[in-house]
Amino acid sequence: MRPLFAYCVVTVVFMSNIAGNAAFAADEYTYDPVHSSVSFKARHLDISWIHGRFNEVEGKFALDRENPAKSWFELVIKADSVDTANKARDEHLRQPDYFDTKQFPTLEFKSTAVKAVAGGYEVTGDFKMHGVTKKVTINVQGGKEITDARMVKRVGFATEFKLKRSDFNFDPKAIGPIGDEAIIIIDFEGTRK
Amino acid sequence: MPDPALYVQTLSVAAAAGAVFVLAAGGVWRAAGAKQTSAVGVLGLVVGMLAGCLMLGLHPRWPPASGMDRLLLIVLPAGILCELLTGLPRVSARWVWSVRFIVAALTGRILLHGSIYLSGSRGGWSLLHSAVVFAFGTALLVAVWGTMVWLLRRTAAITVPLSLAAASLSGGLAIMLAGYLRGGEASLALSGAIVGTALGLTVIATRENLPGLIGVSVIALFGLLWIGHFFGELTLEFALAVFTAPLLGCLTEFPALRKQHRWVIGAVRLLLVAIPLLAVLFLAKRTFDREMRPLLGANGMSGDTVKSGFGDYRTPGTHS
Repeated sequence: MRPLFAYCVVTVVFMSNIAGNAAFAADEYTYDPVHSSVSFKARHLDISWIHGRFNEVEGKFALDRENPAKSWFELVIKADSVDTANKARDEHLRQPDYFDTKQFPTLEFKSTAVKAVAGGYEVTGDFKMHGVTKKVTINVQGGKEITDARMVKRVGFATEFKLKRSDFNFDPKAIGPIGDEAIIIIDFEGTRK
Repeated sequence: MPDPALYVQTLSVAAAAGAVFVLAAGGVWRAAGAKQTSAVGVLGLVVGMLAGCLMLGLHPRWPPASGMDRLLLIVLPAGILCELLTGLPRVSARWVWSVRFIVAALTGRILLHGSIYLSGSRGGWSLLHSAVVFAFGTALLVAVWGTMVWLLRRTAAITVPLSLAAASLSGGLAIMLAGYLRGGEASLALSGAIVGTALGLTVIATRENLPGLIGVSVIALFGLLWIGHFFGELTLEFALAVFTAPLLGCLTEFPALRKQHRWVIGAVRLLLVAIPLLAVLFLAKRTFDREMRPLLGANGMSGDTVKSGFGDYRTPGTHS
Protein backbone atom coordinates (compact mmCIF):
# COMPACT_ATOMS: atom_id res chain seq x y z
CA MET A 1 0.00 0.00 0.00
CA ARG A 2 2.75 2.43 0.93
CA PRO A 3 4.69 2.02 -2.35
CA LEU A 4 1.43 2.56 -4.24
CA PHE A 5 0.72 5.74 -2.28
CA ALA A 6 4.25 7.01 -2.88
CA TYR A 7 3.90 6.24 -6.56
CA CYS A 8 0.64 8.26 -6.75
CA VAL A 9 2.19 11.25 -4.99
CA VAL A 10 5.19 11.27 -7.30
CA THR A 11 2.93 10.98 -10.34
CA VAL A 12 0.70 13.85 -9.19
CA VAL A 13 3.70 16.10 -8.49
CA PHE A 14 5.29 15.21 -11.81
CA MET A 15 2.11 15.81 -13.81
CA SER A 16 1.42 19.12 -12.09
CA ASN A 17 4.93 20.29 -12.98
CA ILE A 18 4.32 19.43 -16.62
CA ALA A 19 0.94 21.15 -16.57
CA GLY A 20 2.47 24.18 -14.89
CA ASN A 21 5.21 24.46 -17.51
CA ALA A 22 2.67 24.05 -20.33
CA ALA A 23 0.59 26.87 -18.90
CA PHE A 24 3.60 29.21 -19.01
CA ALA A 25 5.02 28.09 -22.45
CA ALA A 26 5.17 30.66 -25.26
CA ASP A 27 2.00 31.13 -27.30
CA GLU A 28 2.77 30.81 -30.97
CA TYR A 29 0.91 33.01 -33.45
CA THR A 30 0.70 32.97 -37.23
CA TYR A 31 0.93 36.28 -39.06
CA ASP A 32 -2.51 37.30 -40.35
CA PRO A 33 -1.96 38.93 -43.75
CA VAL A 34 -5.59 40.03 -44.05
CA HIS A 35 -5.36 42.28 -41.02
CA SER A 36 -1.72 43.33 -41.31
CA SER A 37 0.31 45.62 -43.49
CA VAL A 38 3.96 46.28 -44.21
CA SER A 39 4.42 49.71 -45.73
CA PHE A 40 7.20 52.20 -46.23
CA LYS A 41 7.83 55.77 -47.21
CA ALA A 42 10.87 57.56 -48.54
CA ARG A 43 11.62 61.17 -49.42
CA HIS A 44 11.19 62.20 -53.03
CA LEU A 45 13.49 65.05 -54.12
CA ASP A 46 13.45 66.05 -50.45
CA ILE A 47 10.11 67.77 -50.89
CA SER A 48 7.55 65.04 -50.27
CA TRP A 49 7.13 61.34 -49.51
CA ILE A 50 6.67 58.38 -51.80
CA HIS A 51 4.59 55.67 -50.15
CA GLY A 52 4.56 51.98 -50.90
CA ARG A 53 3.76 48.62 -49.43
CA PHE A 54 4.61 44.97 -49.75
CA ASN A 55 1.54 42.85 -50.46
CA GLU A 56 2.94 39.37 -49.83
CA VAL A 57 4.16 38.84 -46.31
CA GLU A 58 4.25 35.82 -44.06
CA GLY A 59 5.55 35.19 -40.61
CA LYS A 60 5.03 33.91 -37.11
CA PHE A 61 5.87 34.93 -33.61
CA ALA A 62 5.69 33.55 -30.11
CA LEU A 63 4.93 35.44 -26.91
CA ASP A 64 5.94 34.18 -23.52
CA ARG A 65 4.31 36.63 -21.15
CA GLU A 66 5.98 35.10 -18.11
CA ASN A 67 9.42 35.17 -19.62
CA PRO A 68 9.50 37.69 -22.49
CA ALA A 69 13.10 36.80 -23.31
CA LYS A 70 11.76 33.52 -24.68
CA SER A 71 9.53 35.33 -27.18
CA TRP A 72 10.55 35.54 -30.81
CA PHE A 73 9.45 37.11 -34.08
CA GLU A 74 9.99 36.09 -37.70
CA LEU A 75 8.85 37.83 -40.87
CA VAL A 76 9.44 37.10 -44.57
CA ILE A 77 8.47 39.72 -47.16
CA LYS A 78 8.32 38.98 -50.87
CA ALA A 79 10.32 41.76 -52.51
CA ASP A 80 8.48 41.19 -55.76
CA SER A 81 5.22 42.28 -54.13
CA VAL A 82 6.36 45.91 -53.80
CA ASP A 83 3.46 48.20 -54.65
CA THR A 84 3.71 51.98 -54.95
CA ALA A 85 0.44 52.34 -56.88
CA ASN A 86 2.42 52.94 -60.07
CA LYS A 87 3.07 49.95 -62.31
CA ALA A 88 6.06 51.48 -64.12
CA ARG A 89 7.72 52.49 -60.87
CA ASP A 90 7.05 49.07 -59.32
CA GLU A 91 8.72 47.37 -62.33
CA HIS A 92 11.65 49.75 -61.93
CA LEU A 93 11.99 48.97 -58.21
CA ARG A 94 12.20 45.23 -58.93
CA GLN A 95 15.26 45.74 -61.15
CA PRO A 96 18.92 45.34 -60.09
CA ASP A 97 19.32 49.09 -59.51
CA TYR A 98 16.90 48.77 -56.58
CA PHE A 99 15.55 45.63 -54.91
CA ASP A 100 16.98 43.21 -57.53
CA THR A 101 14.12 40.85 -56.77
CA LYS A 102 15.29 38.09 -59.12
CA GLN A 103 18.50 37.82 -57.08
CA PHE A 104 17.17 38.75 -53.64
CA PRO A 105 13.54 37.59 -53.63
CA THR A 106 12.82 38.21 -49.95
CA LEU A 107 13.35 40.65 -47.12
CA GLU A 108 13.61 38.77 -43.84
CA PHE A 109 13.60 39.54 -40.15
CA LYS A 110 14.45 37.05 -37.42
CA SER A 111 14.65 38.10 -33.80
CA THR A 112 17.63 37.22 -31.63
CA ALA A 113 16.61 38.91 -28.39
CA VAL A 114 13.35 40.16 -26.94
CA LYS A 115 12.73 42.13 -23.79
CA ALA A 116 9.60 43.63 -22.31
CA VAL A 117 9.26 47.41 -22.36
CA ALA A 118 6.40 49.73 -21.48
CA GLY A 119 3.52 48.96 -23.84
CA GLY A 120 5.18 46.13 -25.72
CA TYR A 121 8.55 44.62 -26.48
CA GLU A 122 11.96 45.71 -27.63
CA VAL A 123 12.98 43.24 -30.32
CA THR A 124 16.53 42.90 -31.59
CA GLY A 125 17.14 40.77 -34.64
CA ASP A 126 18.75 40.22 -38.00
CA PHE A 127 17.19 42.10 -40.88
CA LYS A 128 18.26 40.77 -44.28
CA MET A 129 17.67 42.80 -47.42
CA HIS A 130 19.45 42.93 -50.77
CA GLY A 131 21.88 40.22 -49.69
CA VAL A 132 23.04 42.12 -46.59
CA THR A 133 22.16 41.23 -42.98
CA LYS A 134 22.20 43.92 -40.31
CA LYS A 135 21.26 43.92 -36.63
CA VAL A 136 18.28 46.14 -35.96
CA THR A 137 16.39 46.90 -32.78
CA ILE A 138 12.73 47.80 -33.04
CA ASN A 139 10.05 48.66 -30.55
CA VAL A 140 6.80 46.72 -31.10
CA GLN A 141 3.87 48.23 -29.27
CA GLY A 142 0.80 46.18 -28.37
CA GLY A 143 0.44 42.57 -27.35
CA LYS A 144 -3.05 42.52 -25.94
CA GLU A 145 -4.78 39.27 -26.77
CA ILE A 146 -8.48 39.03 -27.52
CA THR A 147 -10.76 36.23 -28.64
CA ASP A 148 -12.68 37.19 -31.77
CA ALA A 149 -16.17 36.18 -32.86
CA ARG A 150 -14.85 32.96 -34.39
CA MET A 151 -13.20 32.03 -31.10
CA VAL A 152 -9.76 32.66 -32.59
CA LYS A 153 -7.23 34.22 -30.24
CA ARG A 154 -5.77 37.31 -31.80
CA VAL A 155 -3.00 39.70 -30.80
CA GLY A 156 -1.86 42.88 -32.52
CA PHE A 157 1.28 45.00 -32.68
CA ALA A 158 2.52 48.13 -34.37
CA THR A 159 6.07 49.18 -35.08
CA GLU A 160 7.93 51.79 -37.05
CA PHE A 161 11.65 52.00 -37.74
CA LYS A 162 14.13 53.57 -40.13
CA LEU A 163 16.60 51.97 -42.49
CA LYS A 164 19.23 53.40 -44.80
CA ARG A 165 19.30 51.78 -48.22
CA SER A 166 23.01 52.51 -48.52
CA ASP A 167 23.60 50.24 -45.48
CA PHE A 168 22.18 47.37 -47.52
CA ASN A 169 24.35 47.84 -50.61
CA PHE A 170 21.76 49.57 -52.70
CA ASP A 171 23.51 51.38 -55.52
CA PRO A 172 24.34 54.87 -54.20
CA LYS A 173 23.74 56.35 -57.63
CA ALA A 174 20.26 54.88 -57.69
CA ILE A 175 19.46 56.52 -54.39
CA GLY A 176 19.40 59.96 -56.01
CA PRO A 177 15.95 61.53 -56.14
CA ILE A 178 14.59 58.95 -53.68
CA GLY A 179 16.02 59.52 -50.22
CA ASP A 180 18.49 57.08 -48.72
CA GLU A 181 16.47 56.67 -45.54
CA ALA A 182 13.20 54.78 -45.62
CA ILE A 183 10.65 54.56 -42.80
CA ILE A 184 9.14 51.09 -42.44
CA ILE A 185 5.71 50.82 -40.82
CA ILE A 186 4.42 47.38 -39.83
CA ASP A 187 1.00 46.89 -38.25
CA PHE A 188 0.35 43.22 -37.74
CA GLU A 189 -1.92 40.75 -36.10
CA GLY A 190 -1.28 37.14 -35.30
CA THR A 191 -3.72 34.38 -34.58
CA ARG A 192 -3.67 31.12 -32.71
CA LYS A 193 -6.29 28.55 -32.01
CA MET B 1 19.79 59.13 -62.75
CA PRO B 2 21.20 59.00 -66.29
CA ASP B 3 24.14 61.33 -66.82
CA PRO B 4 24.97 61.69 -70.55
CA ALA B 5 28.08 63.77 -69.84
CA LEU B 6 29.45 61.01 -67.58
CA TYR B 7 28.70 58.43 -70.27
CA VAL B 8 30.66 60.33 -72.91
CA GLN B 9 33.54 60.69 -70.43
CA THR B 10 33.38 56.96 -69.66
CA LEU B 11 33.55 56.00 -73.33
CA SER B 12 36.49 58.36 -73.85
CA VAL B 13 38.40 57.30 -70.74
CA ALA B 14 37.91 53.58 -71.44
CA ALA B 15 39.03 54.01 -75.05
CA ALA B 16 42.02 56.13 -74.11
CA ALA B 17 43.13 53.77 -71.33
CA GLY B 18 42.93 50.74 -73.62
CA ALA B 19 44.77 52.48 -76.44
CA VAL B 20 47.53 53.91 -74.23
CA PHE B 21 48.18 50.53 -72.58
CA VAL B 22 48.38 48.77 -75.93
CA LEU B 23 50.69 51.37 -77.43
CA ALA B 24 52.96 51.34 -74.38
CA ALA B 25 53.08 47.60 -73.68
CA GLY B 26 52.61 46.44 -77.24
CA GLY B 27 55.59 48.43 -78.40
CA VAL B 28 57.74 46.39 -76.04
CA TRP B 29 56.36 43.09 -77.35
CA ARG B 30 56.06 44.07 -80.95
CA ALA B 31 59.02 42.07 -82.04
CA ALA B 32 57.97 39.06 -79.96
CA GLY B 33 55.39 37.75 -82.41
CA ALA B 34 51.67 37.41 -82.85
CA LYS B 35 50.75 35.40 -79.74
CA GLN B 36 52.30 37.88 -77.33
CA THR B 37 50.61 40.81 -79.00
CA SER B 38 47.30 38.97 -78.69
CA ALA B 39 47.87 38.97 -74.92
CA VAL B 40 48.50 42.71 -75.07
CA GLY B 41 45.08 43.11 -76.70
CA VAL B 42 43.40 41.14 -73.92
CA LEU B 43 45.12 43.16 -71.20
CA GLY B 44 44.42 46.42 -73.03
CA LEU B 45 40.73 45.59 -72.93
CA VAL B 46 40.99 44.84 -69.21
CA VAL B 47 42.71 48.17 -68.52
CA GLY B 48 40.14 50.02 -70.61
CA MET B 49 37.23 48.37 -68.82
CA LEU B 50 38.74 48.99 -65.41
CA ALA B 51 39.19 52.66 -66.24
CA GLY B 52 35.61 52.88 -67.52
CA CYS B 53 34.17 51.16 -64.45
CA LEU B 54 36.16 53.41 -62.12
CA MET B 55 34.83 56.42 -63.98
CA LEU B 56 31.29 55.13 -63.43
CA GLY B 57 31.88 54.28 -59.78
CA LEU B 58 31.02 50.67 -60.55
CA HIS B 59 32.54 48.65 -57.69
CA PRO B 60 31.71 44.93 -57.55
CA ARG B 61 31.35 43.35 -54.11
CA TRP B 62 33.26 40.37 -52.76
CA PRO B 63 31.88 37.82 -52.24
CA PRO B 64 29.86 38.44 -55.39
CA ALA B 65 26.17 38.74 -54.59
CA SER B 66 24.60 40.04 -57.81
CA GLY B 67 24.78 39.09 -61.46
CA MET B 68 26.98 42.10 -62.20
CA ASP B 69 29.39 41.15 -59.38
CA ARG B 70 29.72 37.65 -60.78
CA LEU B 71 30.26 38.96 -64.31
CA LEU B 72 33.02 41.35 -63.28
CA LEU B 73 34.71 39.14 -60.69
CA ILE B 74 34.30 35.61 -62.06
CA VAL B 75 33.15 35.37 -65.67
CA LEU B 76 35.31 38.11 -67.18
CA PRO B 77 38.48 37.00 -65.36
CA ALA B 78 37.76 33.45 -66.56
CA GLY B 79 37.42 34.71 -70.12
CA ILE B 80 40.60 36.76 -69.81
CA LEU B 81 42.54 33.79 -68.43
CA CYS B 82 41.13 31.60 -71.19
CA GLU B 83 42.28 33.96 -73.92
CA LEU B 84 45.70 34.49 -72.33
CA LEU B 85 46.25 30.72 -72.05
CA THR B 86 45.00 29.97 -75.53
CA GLY B 87 47.22 32.75 -76.88
CA LEU B 88 50.37 31.00 -75.66
CA PRO B 89 52.74 29.59 -78.31
CA ARG B 90 52.24 26.05 -79.60
CA VAL B 91 48.74 25.66 -78.16
CA SER B 92 46.67 23.38 -80.39
CA ALA B 93 43.35 24.53 -81.83
CA ARG B 94 41.61 21.59 -80.13
CA TRP B 95 42.89 22.70 -76.72
CA VAL B 96 41.97 26.32 -77.49
CA TRP B 97 38.38 25.53 -78.32
CA SER B 98 37.98 23.02 -75.48
CA VAL B 99 38.87 25.71 -72.96
CA ARG B 100 36.67 28.25 -74.71
CA PHE B 101 33.76 25.80 -74.70
CA ILE B 102 34.13 25.21 -70.96
CA VAL B 103 34.08 28.96 -70.27
CA ALA B 104 31.05 29.37 -72.54
CA ALA B 105 29.22 26.47 -70.88
CA LEU B 106 29.76 27.85 -67.37
CA THR B 107 29.05 31.53 -68.09
CA GLY B 108 25.25 31.44 -68.06
CA ARG B 109 25.09 29.18 -64.99
CA ILE B 110 27.52 31.32 -62.99
CA LEU B 111 25.67 34.52 -63.79
CA LEU B 112 22.36 33.09 -62.58
CA HIS B 113 23.77 31.56 -59.41
CA GLY B 114 21.60 32.12 -56.35
CA SER B 115 18.78 33.65 -58.38
CA ILE B 116 15.12 32.67 -58.22
CA TYR B 117 15.51 30.82 -61.52
CA LEU B 118 17.69 28.17 -59.89
CA SER B 119 16.20 28.23 -56.41
CA GLY B 120 13.92 25.25 -56.91
CA SER B 121 11.06 27.21 -55.37
CA ARG B 122 7.82 28.44 -56.93
CA GLY B 123 8.78 30.60 -59.89
CA GLY B 124 12.05 28.72 -60.38
CA TRP B 125 12.95 26.57 -63.33
CA SER B 126 12.65 22.83 -63.54
CA LEU B 127 15.81 20.85 -64.22
CA LEU B 128 14.80 20.39 -67.86
CA HIS B 129 14.06 24.09 -68.31
CA SER B 130 17.45 25.00 -66.82
CA ALA B 131 19.22 22.52 -69.09
CA VAL B 132 17.50 23.89 -72.19
CA VAL B 133 18.26 27.52 -71.30
CA PHE B 134 21.92 26.86 -70.50
CA ALA B 135 22.39 24.64 -73.57
CA PHE B 136 20.90 27.33 -75.79
CA GLY B 137 23.03 30.04 -74.16
CA THR B 138 26.19 27.98 -74.53
CA ALA B 139 25.45 27.16 -78.17
CA LEU B 140 24.73 30.79 -78.98
CA LEU B 141 27.86 32.06 -77.25
CA VAL B 142 30.10 29.47 -78.91
CA ALA B 143 28.49 30.12 -82.32
CA VAL B 144 28.98 33.89 -82.17
CA TRP B 145 32.48 33.53 -80.67
CA GLY B 146 33.57 31.05 -83.31
CA THR B 147 32.07 33.05 -86.16
CA MET B 148 33.72 36.28 -85.07
CA VAL B 149 37.12 34.57 -84.75
CA TRP B 150 36.61 33.00 -88.18
CA LEU B 151 35.68 36.35 -89.69
CA LEU B 152 38.68 38.00 -88.10
CA ARG B 153 41.01 35.36 -89.54
CA ARG B 154 39.59 35.92 -93.01
CA THR B 155 39.59 39.70 -92.96
CA ALA B 156 42.02 40.81 -90.21
CA ALA B 157 39.95 43.99 -90.20
CA ILE B 158 39.45 46.45 -87.36
CA THR B 159 35.76 46.60 -88.28
CA VAL B 160 35.26 43.19 -86.65
CA PRO B 161 36.01 44.40 -83.10
CA LEU B 162 34.34 47.72 -83.93
CA SER B 163 31.11 45.87 -84.74
CA LEU B 164 31.32 44.29 -81.26
CA ALA B 165 31.87 47.75 -79.79
CA ALA B 166 28.75 49.00 -81.61
CA ALA B 167 26.75 46.03 -80.30
CA SER B 168 27.95 46.76 -76.75
CA LEU B 169 26.95 50.41 -77.07
CA SER B 170 23.53 49.58 -78.48
CA GLY B 171 22.98 46.79 -75.97
CA GLY B 172 23.98 49.08 -73.12
CA LEU B 173 21.56 51.78 -74.16
CA ALA B 174 18.77 49.22 -74.61
CA ILE B 175 19.45 47.83 -71.12
CA MET B 176 19.28 51.35 -69.68
CA LEU B 177 16.05 52.12 -71.51
CA ALA B 178 14.62 48.90 -70.08
CA GLY B 179 15.31 50.27 -66.60
CA TYR B 180 18.62 48.75 -65.52
CA LEU B 181 20.90 51.74 -65.43
CA ARG B 182 24.08 50.16 -64.03
CA GLY B 183 23.94 47.24 -66.43
CA GLY B 184 23.80 49.61 -69.36
CA GLU B 185 26.60 51.76 -67.97
CA ALA B 186 28.94 48.76 -67.75
CA SER B 187 28.32 48.15 -71.46
CA LEU B 188 29.56 51.66 -72.21
CA ALA B 189 32.85 50.90 -70.46
CA LEU B 190 33.15 47.74 -72.56
CA SER B 191 32.37 49.56 -75.79
CA GLY B 192 34.96 52.27 -75.19
CA ALA B 193 37.59 49.74 -74.15
CA ILE B 194 37.07 47.67 -77.31
CA VAL B 195 37.41 50.71 -79.57
CA GLY B 196 40.55 52.01 -77.86
CA THR B 197 42.25 48.63 -77.67
CA ALA B 198 41.43 47.77 -81.29
CA LEU B 199 42.77 51.11 -82.53
CA GLY B 200 45.92 50.65 -80.47
CA LEU B 201 46.49 47.16 -81.84
CA THR B 202 46.00 48.43 -85.37
CA VAL B 203 48.74 50.99 -84.82
CA ILE B 204 51.34 48.70 -83.22
CA ALA B 205 50.84 45.40 -84.98
CA THR B 206 49.36 43.59 -87.89
CA ARG B 207 45.66 43.13 -87.53
CA GLU B 208 45.92 39.36 -87.19
CA ASN B 209 46.57 39.84 -83.49
CA LEU B 210 43.01 40.61 -82.46
CA PRO B 211 41.54 37.15 -81.54
CA GLY B 212 42.10 37.56 -77.77
CA LEU B 213 40.33 40.91 -77.83
CA ILE B 214 37.45 39.34 -79.76
CA GLY B 215 37.06 36.46 -77.30
CA VAL B 216 36.85 38.60 -74.16
CA SER B 217 34.59 41.13 -75.91
CA VAL B 218 32.14 38.41 -76.95
CA ILE B 219 32.02 36.94 -73.43
CA ALA B 220 31.55 40.38 -71.87
CA LEU B 221 28.79 41.33 -74.32
CA PHE B 222 27.02 38.00 -73.78
CA GLY B 223 27.26 38.38 -70.01
CA LEU B 224 25.86 41.91 -70.00
CA LEU B 225 22.94 40.98 -72.25
CA TRP B 226 22.31 37.83 -70.19
CA ILE B 227 22.00 39.72 -66.92
CA GLY B 228 20.15 42.54 -68.68
CA HIS B 229 17.54 40.00 -69.73
CA PHE B 230 17.31 37.76 -66.68
CA PHE B 231 17.70 40.39 -63.97
CA GLY B 232 16.61 43.52 -65.83
CA GLU B 233 13.78 43.96 -68.28
CA LEU B 234 15.67 43.65 -71.57
CA THR B 235 13.46 41.54 -73.83
CA LEU B 236 14.79 38.30 -75.28
CA GLU B 237 14.25 39.60 -78.81
CA PHE B 238 16.36 42.71 -78.20
CA ALA B 239 19.09 40.70 -76.46
CA LEU B 240 19.29 38.19 -79.33
CA ALA B 241 19.22 40.92 -81.98
CA VAL B 242 22.07 42.83 -80.34
CA PHE B 243 24.22 39.75 -79.70
CA THR B 244 23.86 38.33 -83.21
CA ALA B 245 24.06 41.65 -85.10
CA PRO B 246 27.89 41.45 -85.49
CA LEU B 247 27.37 38.17 -87.40
CA LEU B 248 25.93 40.21 -90.27
CA GLY B 249 29.49 41.31 -90.94
CA CYS B 250 29.99 37.86 -92.48
CA LEU B 251 27.85 38.91 -95.44
CA THR B 252 30.79 40.94 -96.70
CA GLU B 253 32.56 37.63 -97.35
CA PHE B 254 30.31 36.95 -100.33
CA PRO B 255 32.39 36.99 -103.55
CA ALA B 256 30.63 40.07 -104.96
CA LEU B 257 31.66 42.17 -101.99
CA ARG B 258 35.07 40.62 -101.30
CA LYS B 259 36.42 42.08 -104.52
CA GLN B 260 35.77 45.64 -103.34
CA HIS B 261 38.34 47.89 -101.77
CA ARG B 262 38.86 47.09 -98.07
CA TRP B 263 37.52 50.49 -96.99
CA VAL B 264 34.28 49.79 -98.86
CA ILE B 265 34.06 46.31 -97.33
CA GLY B 266 34.64 47.75 -93.88
CA ALA B 267 32.00 50.44 -94.32
CA VAL B 268 29.45 47.94 -95.62
CA ARG B 269 30.24 45.60 -92.74
CA LEU B 270 29.62 48.31 -90.15
CA LEU B 271 26.46 49.43 -91.94
CA LEU B 272 25.05 45.90 -92.00
CA VAL B 273 25.70 45.53 -88.28
CA ALA B 274 24.32 48.99 -87.48
CA ILE B 275 20.89 48.35 -89.04
CA PRO B 276 19.53 45.89 -86.45
CA LEU B 277 21.27 47.77 -83.63
CA LEU B 278 19.55 51.02 -84.56
CA ALA B 279 16.24 49.19 -84.92
CA VAL B 280 16.63 47.80 -81.38
CA LEU B 281 17.39 51.27 -80.05
CA PHE B 282 14.39 52.77 -81.82
CA LEU B 283 12.02 50.12 -80.46
CA ALA B 284 13.55 50.28 -76.97
CA LYS B 285 13.09 54.05 -76.89
CA ARG B 286 9.48 53.68 -78.00
CA THR B 287 8.80 51.18 -75.22
CA PHE B 288 10.53 53.46 -72.72
CA ASP B 289 8.39 56.45 -73.74
CA ARG B 290 5.21 54.38 -73.43
CA GLU B 291 5.95 52.63 -70.14
CA MET B 292 7.82 55.33 -68.25
CA ARG B 293 5.26 57.98 -69.10
CA PRO B 294 3.35 57.57 -65.83
CA LEU B 295 6.54 58.32 -63.92
CA LEU B 296 7.02 61.67 -65.57
CA GLY B 297 4.16 63.54 -63.91
CA ALA B 298 0.58 63.35 -62.65
CA ASN B 299 -0.77 64.66 -65.95
CA GLY B 300 1.51 62.66 -68.23
CA MET B 301 4.60 64.11 -69.89
CA SER B 302 6.35 66.97 -68.15
CA GLY B 303 5.54 70.30 -69.77
CA ASP B 304 1.93 69.37 -70.57
CA THR B 305 -0.44 72.29 -70.77
CA VAL B 306 -3.24 72.02 -68.22
CA LYS B 307 -6.45 73.96 -68.58
CA SER B 308 -7.84 75.38 -65.39
CA GLY B 309 -10.33 78.00 -64.31
CA PHE B 310 -7.41 80.39 -63.85
CA GLY B 311 -6.05 80.00 -67.38
CA ASP B 312 -3.64 77.57 -68.95
CA TYR B 313 -0.36 76.62 -67.29
CA ARG B 314 2.42 74.16 -68.03
CA THR B 315 3.11 71.42 -65.52
CA PRO B 316 6.63 71.44 -64.14
CA GLY B 317 8.92 68.51 -65.04
CA THR B 318 8.87 65.78 -62.38
CA HIS B 319 10.93 62.60 -62.14
CA SER B 320 10.92 59.49 -60.02
